[in-house]
Parts: sequence; C-alpha cells; structure tokens
Amino acid sequence: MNAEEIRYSLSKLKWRYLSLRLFEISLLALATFLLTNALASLWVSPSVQKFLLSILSGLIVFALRFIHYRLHKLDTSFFIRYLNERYKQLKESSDLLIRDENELTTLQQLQKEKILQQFNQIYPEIKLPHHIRQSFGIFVGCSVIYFALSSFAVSTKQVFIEPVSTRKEIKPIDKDLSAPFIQSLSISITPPAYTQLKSFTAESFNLTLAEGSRVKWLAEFSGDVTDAKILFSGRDSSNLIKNNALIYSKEKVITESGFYQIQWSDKNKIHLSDYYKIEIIKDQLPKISIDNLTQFTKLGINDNLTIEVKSSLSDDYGLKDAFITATVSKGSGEGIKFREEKLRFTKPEKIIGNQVSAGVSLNLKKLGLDPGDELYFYVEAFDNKMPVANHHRTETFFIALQDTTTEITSADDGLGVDLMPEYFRSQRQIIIDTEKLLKEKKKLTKQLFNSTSNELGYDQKVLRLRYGQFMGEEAESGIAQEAIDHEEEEETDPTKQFGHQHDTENEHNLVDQKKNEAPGHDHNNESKDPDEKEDPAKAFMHNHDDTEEATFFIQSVKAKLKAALAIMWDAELYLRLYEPEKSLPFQYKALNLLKEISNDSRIYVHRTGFDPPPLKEEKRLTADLSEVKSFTNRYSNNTEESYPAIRKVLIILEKIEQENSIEISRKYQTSFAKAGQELSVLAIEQPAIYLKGLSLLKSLADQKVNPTDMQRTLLDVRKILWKAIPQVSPSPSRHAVTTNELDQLFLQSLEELKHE
Amino acid sequence: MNNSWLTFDPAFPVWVIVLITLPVFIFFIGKEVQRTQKFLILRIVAQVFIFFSIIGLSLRLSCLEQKVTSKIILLTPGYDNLKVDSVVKKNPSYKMIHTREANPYLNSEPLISYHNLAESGDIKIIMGEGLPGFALEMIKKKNFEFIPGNLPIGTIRISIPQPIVVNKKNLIQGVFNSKGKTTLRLISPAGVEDSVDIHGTGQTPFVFSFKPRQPGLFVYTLSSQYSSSNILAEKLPLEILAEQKLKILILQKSPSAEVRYLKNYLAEKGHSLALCYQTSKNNFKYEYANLNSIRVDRITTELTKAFDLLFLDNTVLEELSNSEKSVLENSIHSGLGAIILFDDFPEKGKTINQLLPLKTKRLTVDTVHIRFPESKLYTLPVLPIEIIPNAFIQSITLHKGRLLSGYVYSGAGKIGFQLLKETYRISLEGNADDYAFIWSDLIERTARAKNKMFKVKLDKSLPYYPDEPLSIEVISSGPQPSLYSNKILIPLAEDVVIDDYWHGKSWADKAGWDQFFIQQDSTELNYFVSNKGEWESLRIAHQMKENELAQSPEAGSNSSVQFIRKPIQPLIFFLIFLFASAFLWLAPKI
Repeated sequence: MNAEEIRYSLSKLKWRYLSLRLFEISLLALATFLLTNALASLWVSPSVQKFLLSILSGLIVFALRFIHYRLHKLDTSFFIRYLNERYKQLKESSDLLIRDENELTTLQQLQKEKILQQFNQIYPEIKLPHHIRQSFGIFVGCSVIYFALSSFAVSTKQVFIEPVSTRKEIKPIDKDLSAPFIQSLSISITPPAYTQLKSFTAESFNLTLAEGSRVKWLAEFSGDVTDAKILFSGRDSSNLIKNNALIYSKEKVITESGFYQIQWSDKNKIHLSDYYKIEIIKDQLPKISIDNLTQFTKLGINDNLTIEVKSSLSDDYGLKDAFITATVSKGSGEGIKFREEKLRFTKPEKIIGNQVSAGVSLNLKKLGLDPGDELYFYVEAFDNKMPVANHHRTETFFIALQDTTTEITSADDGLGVDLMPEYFRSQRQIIIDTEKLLKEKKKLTKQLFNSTSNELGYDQKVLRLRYGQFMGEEAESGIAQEAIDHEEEEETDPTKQFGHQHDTENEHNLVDQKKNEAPGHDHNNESKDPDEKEDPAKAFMHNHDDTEEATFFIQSVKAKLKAALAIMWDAELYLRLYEPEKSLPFQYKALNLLKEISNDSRIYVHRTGFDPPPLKEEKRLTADLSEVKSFTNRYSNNTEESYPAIRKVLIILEKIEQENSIEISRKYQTSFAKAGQELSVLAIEQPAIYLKGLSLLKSLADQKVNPTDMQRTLLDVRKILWKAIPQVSPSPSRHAVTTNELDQLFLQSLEELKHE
Repeated sequence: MNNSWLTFDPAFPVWVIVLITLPVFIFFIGKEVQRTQKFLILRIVAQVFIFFSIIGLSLRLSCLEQKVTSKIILLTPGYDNLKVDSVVKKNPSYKMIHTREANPYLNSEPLISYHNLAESGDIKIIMGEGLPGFALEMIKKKNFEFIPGNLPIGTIRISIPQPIVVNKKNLIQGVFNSKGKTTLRLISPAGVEDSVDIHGTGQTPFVFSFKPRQPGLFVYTLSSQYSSSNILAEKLPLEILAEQKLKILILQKSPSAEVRYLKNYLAEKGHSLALCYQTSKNNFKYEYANLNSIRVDRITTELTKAFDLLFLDNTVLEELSNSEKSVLENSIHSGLGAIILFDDFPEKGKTINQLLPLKTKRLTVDTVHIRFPESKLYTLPVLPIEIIPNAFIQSITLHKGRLLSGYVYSGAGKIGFQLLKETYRISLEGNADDYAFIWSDLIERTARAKNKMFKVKLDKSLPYYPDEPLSIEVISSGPQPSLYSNKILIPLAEDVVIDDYWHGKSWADKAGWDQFFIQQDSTELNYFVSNKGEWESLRIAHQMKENELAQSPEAGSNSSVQFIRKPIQPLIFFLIFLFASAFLWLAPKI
C-alpha cells in the first residue's frame, strides 16, 4: 500500500464516520421533533405553530450535536488520533502513514513499514465511534410518547369549525307575510341516561334521535302569538309554554317515530308550520353468538366431557347481564325427564360493556349427563335499557352423550304409522353399495371403480337434496328432475326389491302400487290411513304461525337433520374423489343421525296426542241424531278498498296532469284533505317516505302551490300516493262479452262438430 | 252505368223519366200538329230538341274520354337514395314526386296535398315510410309497389294486453329496433316497474311485466336510454279495470279443506258465495258469504241463473236427479260456468263423462313438482290421470306438457276441471299470489261472462293523433248502435256482408284521453290521443306495414291509356231547351 492508497483508505474512513454520525444526529433530531410536537399538542392547537416549533427544536439538537462532534472540522488527524488510541498494535505511530517518505528518518521509515502492515491487517476491522443504538432508543421512546400524547391533543375540529347554528326561521305554511313567524327554533335533545350519549342540539328540524330521548323545543316568535302548540303525528297536541312575551318552549320524551308541526294563532287566524319528521333509533337487541360449537355436538363416552362454551355478546348501548340456560334431558320414551339450570359465565363473571367475549366450561358429568342423555342450552343476554331491558337469546344448542348399548328401532304405538324410518333407508343402501365396492376393489378396473364411486357420490347428492327439501332448502336446478333420474337408476338397482320405494312421483300413494311391489311386501300393514301419510315433510316444515310446531323437539330434529346434511356433503366429496373408504365413516355418521331423527319423532307424538272427552255411555250407539240439525251461516267480508281517498286523489291527479292544469279546482280540495288524513297514518310509521307527500298534499289542498311548481308537485305527490297503495294478491274477475247472432251460429257449429 | 261511349247517371229512375217525358212529348207533338200555323216541321224539330234536352238533364249524360297518364314514383320520408337510383335507372320514364315531409330527389316535384293524389296520375311505386292510411284512401287504383326504407330506431311494435285488471300480473310485449346498447324502462306513476337491457343492434323483442294497484286511466312511460344523455320517454296509456265480482255456488257432498280455503279466498276477495255440503243423512250446512240466503238444495233454472259459476264435486253430480241434470246441462249451454272437483276419476258411464267428454289415460304418478311464475318449487298431489289434449280443450295450467287444469266449451258455457289437489297448502305457507295463480285464471275463464250489447273497438292500434281519422268498429248484439264522441253522434254504416257489424269514422281534436260512448247500454271505449311526434317510430312502422298490405303491383308499359267519364255540361241541354222553347214562342209571331 503506497501513500495514495493510505490516503484513500483514510478518506473512506472519514466518509463512513460522517455517515454514521449524521444518521445518529438525525435520529436524535427526529426524536426531538416528535417529542416537541407531542408536548406542544397539549397546549398549542394551531398545527402550523406546532410544526414550526418541532422543526426548530429538531434543528437545534441537530446543530448542537453536529458542532459537538466537530463534524464541520473533520480531518485526517482525528482518525490518526483515534487509531493510535484504539489500536495499540499501531504503537502510537499512525501519523507516519500520512507523512511523506522523504521527511522520514530511516527509523521512521522502518517503523512506517511495520505500521503499514499492521494497518493493512486492522483496516477491515476498524470500528468507528458512534451512538446509533442509543439514538435509536431515544427515537423509539419519543415516538411512543408522541403517539401516547396525541390522544390527549386538543381537537382541531373543535377549535377551527364553528358550531352549526340551528337557529332558523320558520314561516307559516300559508305564506301569510303579515303573520308572525318563528324567528328561531332551537331543539336540544337529551338521550336517555343509559345510552351514555351526550346531549346535543339538533342541526335540522327533522329529528333523528335515540328512543326515549327528551326533546326540548325553544321557539322565538317574531311577534305576539297566542295558543302556540306542537301537533304530533297529526293526532296529539301539546301547548307550548310561554317563557316570556315571544319565547315559547316545550319538553317531551319521544318514544315513537312520527312527525310534528308547530301551530300558533294570531288575530284569530291559525298558522301552521311545515311538517318535520321524528325518526326514532330503536335500541337494538343484544347480539349473541356461540363461536366454538356447532349446533349439534355428539360425544362418545370416552371423549372429554368438559365442553368449553365461548360466546361473543354485543349491544349498541351496553350489556347488563348474560347467562346460559341449560336443560338436561334424561331417559327416553314415557320416562323422559327434564331438568333446567341457569349457568353463569366464568370468564368474565360479570357481563358489562358494549362488546364482551364470555366463556364457561360445562362439565357434563357434573351436570348429571349419563350416556343417552342430552343437554340443550342457549345463551340469553340483557342490555342496559331502562326501564325494561331488551333481551335476546341464541338458538338452542345440543350436546348428546351417545349411548352405545342400545339402539331403538321399534315403532311407537301412539304414532300409528311409522313414517320416519322409511325415509332414511337410502343411506343404508349407499353404505351397502360402498362396502360392496370396497370389497370388489381388487377385481375391478380403476376406471370402473372410479365410475362406480362417482355414481354413488351422485346417489349421495340426490339423497342430500331430498333431505334438503325437508329443511326448506331450494335445491339446485331441478331436484324434481334429479329425483326422476334417480328413480330411473333405481330400476336397475338390485337392492330395490328388498327396499321400500319412496320420494317417487307416487309418494302420496293415490295410485295402487301393487304391480311394482316385491312379493310379500304388504303396504296395508304400514299404511291404513293414507291421509296420515300424505305429507311427512310437514314434520320438518318451519311454521312460525303454529305454536305447536315451535317446540324444542322440532328444533332438535332440524338441527340433527342439518348436521346430517353437512356430513352427507363430506360423504359425497370422498365418493367423488374416488376414496369410498374415507367416505364410509361419514356415511355411518349420517345414518346414525337419521336414525336418531326417526326416534325423536316419538316424543312429539306423545306430546300432542289427542285426549278425547269421555263418552256418555247411555247415548252410545243409540243412533240419536235429533240434536244434529242443518245449519246456516251467513257472513259478509269487509271488501272495502284500502285508502279510498288516496285512490280517489290518484285519479284526480292523473286528470289534472293530463289537462296540464296549473290550478287546483276547489272541488278537489276536500279529496286532498281526506287523502292527507289517510297518508298521515302511514307517515307516522314511515315518515321518511310519506312525510314529504303529506306536506305537499296539504299545500295542494290549501292551494298554496306556486303555479310554476305545480307540475313537479303533482308528480311528486302522485309518486308518493302510489307507493301508499298496498299490493294485494289477484282475484278472479268477471269478463264481459258481446254475443251476437254470429256467435250463436258459431257455437252451434262447434257443438255439431263436437258431436260428430 | 255501362261501358258504352255515352253513359248516364239518372237523377230519377229511368222508367220514371220515360213514363213522364214520353207521354208529354207525344202530347205536345200532337198539339203542334193540331195547331194551324206555319213552320210545322221546325216546330216539331223544336219539340224534339226540348224532349232530348229534358232527357239529357234528367239522365245526366256523360261520355268516355281517352286520357294518357304517365306513371309516378312517390317519395315519402325515409326513402333510401340508393334504392331510388336503382328504381329510376330501371324506369327512366317514370315521373317523380315527393311528399312535403320528404327530401326532394333530383327532378322530383312536390306533392302539395294528399288530396292531389286523386288526380296526380298512376302511382306505381311508393318509396320510404309510405303514406298514412287516410292518404292511401285517396289513391283510386292501388296498383303500386311499396319499397320500404329502413325501419326507424325505437319501438316498432307494442302489444298492450286487453283487458288490464288491477292486481294482476300483466305483460307488455314489443319489439325495439336499436342502434346499440339501450335500456328500456316501464315507468308507472310510482316509479320504474320493469326494465330491459338491449345489447347489440337490430330488432329485439322485449317484455315488461307489471302489477297495477289502482284501477283508472293512467299514463305510464316507456323510456329508452341509448346513452346517458339520449333518453326518449313515450307516454304509454293504460286503462286499468277494477275487478268484477262473481257469484259462485259450491255444492259438495262432504266438507274438505281444499274447498274451505278456496271459499275463504273467494269470500275475502268480495265475491258472493253460497256453499252447501251434507253433514249427515238429512242435514246440510249452508254458508253464504257476501250474499243473502237463497235456497240451494235443489238445482233449478232460477238458481243457476243467479250464479256465474258452479263448483260441484263428482259425487254430488252423480246424485243429481234427471231433471236437475237436465237443468244443469241447459244452464251451462246458456252460459253458466261449472268446475268439477274430482276425488277420483270416475268410471265410464257416469254423468261426469257426458258433461266433460275428456279422453284420459291412467298414470302411475300422483305427485307433481311444479313451479309457478316466480314461485318456489311445490310438490303437490295430483289426480293420476293424463288428459289427452284435443282442439276443444282450453288449457290453463300445463306442466311439462301435462294438462293440470283447463276447460271445455259446452254451448255458451264452459266446464272446467282441476286435477291439482291440496292446493290449500300453498295458501297455508303464506304464498297468496301462487294460490291465486292456480285458481283465479281457471275461475275467471270458466265463469259466465257478463253480456254486453255492444263492443266498440278501433281499427288500428296505438298511436292515435289529433285531426287524423279514426276508424271505429262496433259489434252489436242486434240493435243499431248510437255512438257518441264528445256528445256528437257519429254516423255508423252496417257492414255489407256481416250482420250487426258497424263501421264509422271520427276525428280526435286534442291530445289526451278521449272516449267513445254508446248510449243504449253505456258501453265505453277509452283511448288516448298522443301528441304529434310521440311514438314516431311506432307510427312509421305501422304505416310501412299498412302500405305493404295495401300494395298490389302490376306490370305494364311506361304510360297507360285511361278512359275517364266526362259529364256533358247540363248548360248545353238547358240552352237547347231555352232556344227551342223560344222558337216555339216566336213561331206564331213571325
């Protein structure tokens, strides 16, 4: 290495050092910037000042550190000193490296050679001094402080945006310029305490507020008025309380949507304001879900019998309480017993807040569940609504402890007809076929094996679609078609003669099926009353109106059927993937579930069994019909059309529009007023849709519409009134024809033709 | 009157003229002979002149005149220049004229008025959008060929269902000629009812469905949006009729859920109902909904006249006495509707087979998986028979080609059948529209129709414009109709060939709803007159169709010789009469 190379190496060191120091100083300056900004946010609000202050402090720190490290006076001697201090092997002689050869003595030259060798060795390992780690630590610390303090910063919105003024004028709708008007109307709304919402002043006269809010109207009139009142939804009226000569006020707790209008009198003339809507935001029911369990869980005796229930609970204004209601069902048949328990969540113990994740461990053994028993439970939550809290519950979840010792297959006498099992035999057929396929796997070609597996997958799909129907699932295109296809396939099914054909086009058994039946298979023993067999699907229908069906047990059947359908999907999947051995366990699961569903039906039958009144033995079999008489019943249905005035006005509006009239005739005013009365009922329920119409109708009725706005107003009113007319189902209508001599001749000829 | 050179058009019957003038002539000749004056020959000649002049005046003589006319090409708006070039090249001697609305073509002359068509010559070719109907009537010989121009962009065909009844689903069908992606919207007074997106160019059929909620005369809008700014809105007039209530009698052997729900449905809709079923051997239950009590235990002519529709099950039908069966048959022949409810399809030889002569085939299926328009899939029991269709059976519900409900004509009445069973399940599921779909059509089409004395209709469909003639057709059940429009009696002429078929013509004076009214039974026909310029594409398409139908091209030379009848001026005869009479007056004095 010659002198040039040494200088070059030292120059490189200089730049490295400079970079490190600059990075370190920059971190410190940035940290200072953030810290100053965060601290300034607490007291200073304008962001420009805050920014300038932060920049300034950052620059000061940068400059101080820059001067402190003397980076502006950095030269080679600094590195010589550093090398001499740091690296002892250079023997305090590094300065020789930069000195000219000619200036050196022989000894110095010898020393220089030695030092040069040493320098070459240590050069790659030279570590320059810096405090980057410390600076980075300070930067991170300041960043944390910055984000933490930002939360308490003075809100810029509050500082810069002027509060919206709600003090607006309200002129009477009759546009009487001489009449006193409301110079300003201020509406302050205080939501109920439990909502924890702050009081606020409404920005518009149309109010949107939480249910149960207290609303205060403060109206300042431009002149003396008498009898000032607020009309609510066209029904109730409340007098405004006179605070002083011109200011009136009224406070009211609003619990339902509707609209209001302010009325005042002046010199015996009544003035009315426009309509303004009141829209109530209802307190929502608590939302509850159970996150970690499916609706139906089946456990074996060897499974872990402690079930963790994790539930997510939320409410718009906050929850007050939640718990689990569990019912243990023990025994079977007539000996079935129920025990209900209320279980509290353990994590957290108290359910409070807007959003809570709660959990509890259910120890089935402690709850007293034995094999064959079932646990039904649901989570119920209450919110903080006052005075009556809203409450909501989840669907019922089921945990069944399997009893492997018995399998009930007998039909119950009370049922009369064993409907259920017949529907669930096809699954067994698929299992038999799958097992057969697996046995014959070695004998079959791969192609044939795959094709048979796929066909079985198809059968599984058809079966799933059938059960899907019971669940009210609309099958993919044409379940009917597929059902027919399946029927065709079954004709070649060797197991058919041993089975019992159902879900066919003749499931209602209106046609004698004797020809199709296998010998020795007697339907009469199974079905003595065809009416009872007509619609087994009824058992699975979700009929909200029928209280008898909205029971525990039907839900359990539905849940099981749902679970069975899900399992059938898996069974089909593996059959379609040509892995019938993987599909078999799912098929067995599905079959087991279907069997259980059939057993469940017994409980339902017992519960709804008909208990006839006792017979009077003395009257029995006497054939006395004296008390049985002909009976006449006469009644009239109310067939009046809904909203007759609105319907009448629609016709009138159509006529006015066709005539391009810009004035409303006096004869129509009464009709408009009546239509307004009908529309006001709707406006209370849906002010957002109908309130405008009501206002426009009133303007039309009072002939207060500007001629230039007439057409637009008529179109708007017409549109709103059309929406008010309900859609009803069609009814047959009598046609009218004109029959002349030619028609008679035609009919005669037709009759002759028919009898030829 | 004849094809000879000299023809006449007598003011009175010829025999009257001859009977009067000939004796008078002979009498006056005799008188002249008897007069002892000079110029006997000249006087007789003058008498002859007088006689012939009177004959000439009363017979209104005319003579045939030969006229050579050139053939004409008439250009109307929308003609294709290239086609005209070709036509002119082929027929260079043809004269060219163009209507006022059409662009002139080289040497074409303008047609000042459609009235000039009568005298303008022999129109051989009409090109473009053609002539309006009333102008076509001006052309005496319609031996022209019509060469249409391009169809206009817009709605070129529209079919509005008749009648439109409130609460029922109605379909408006049409064809739209588009030049690119267009969105069509049917807008009711309540807002958009239905919309169709048309992709591509050319003629595309479209269908809108809508359910009107209110009866009356309303103007919907058919808007077509070609681009964001290019929106054309046309007024679509719809007359929505209110539901007309029916009187229905239901006779059942024993009560059933099916009939109970059907009865409830009809009663809720305001129809008048009487229901009778047997509760025990001698006891019956009678129900009357929206109807005063009436004896329904025996079928009589009075009873059947009081109802429009009769539901009866086949057991009741079989148990009717012979006289009741006869009354029933006659009533149906006179217009009564009957719907038979089957429990099972009866064997041969039963009354039902006489009333409802259907050829059937037994089936092994008793279930049908059916989907009604916009409904879910229903699984319903059905009578396991297949009705073999024939020309006399009118189908109402068809499923995969299988007839599930329908009716047959029996005289003026109809007999309906419903093979679907347990339809009340649909009602129980809350699907009122689907339940109504199954029954309302069958009931409506089977029930006795209200008899009207007159039926008024317009010869052409929408659009109608002010100051354009409207051809009206009236079908009468016998009496001569007195048709009024705005309290003005419209003269009607009975068809020469068809009895009770009347024609008339009227003119609407302003745009908007208008009405024709028949005084005798208050029959009305409401129609909507569009403003000029509205429905332009539809008007042009109709006009082109009309011209196409009116054309009857014939081959011929470039010029044709026409013989026209030119009446001899009556002044000539009058002057002859005057001079002859003057001579007779002067002769004694000379």
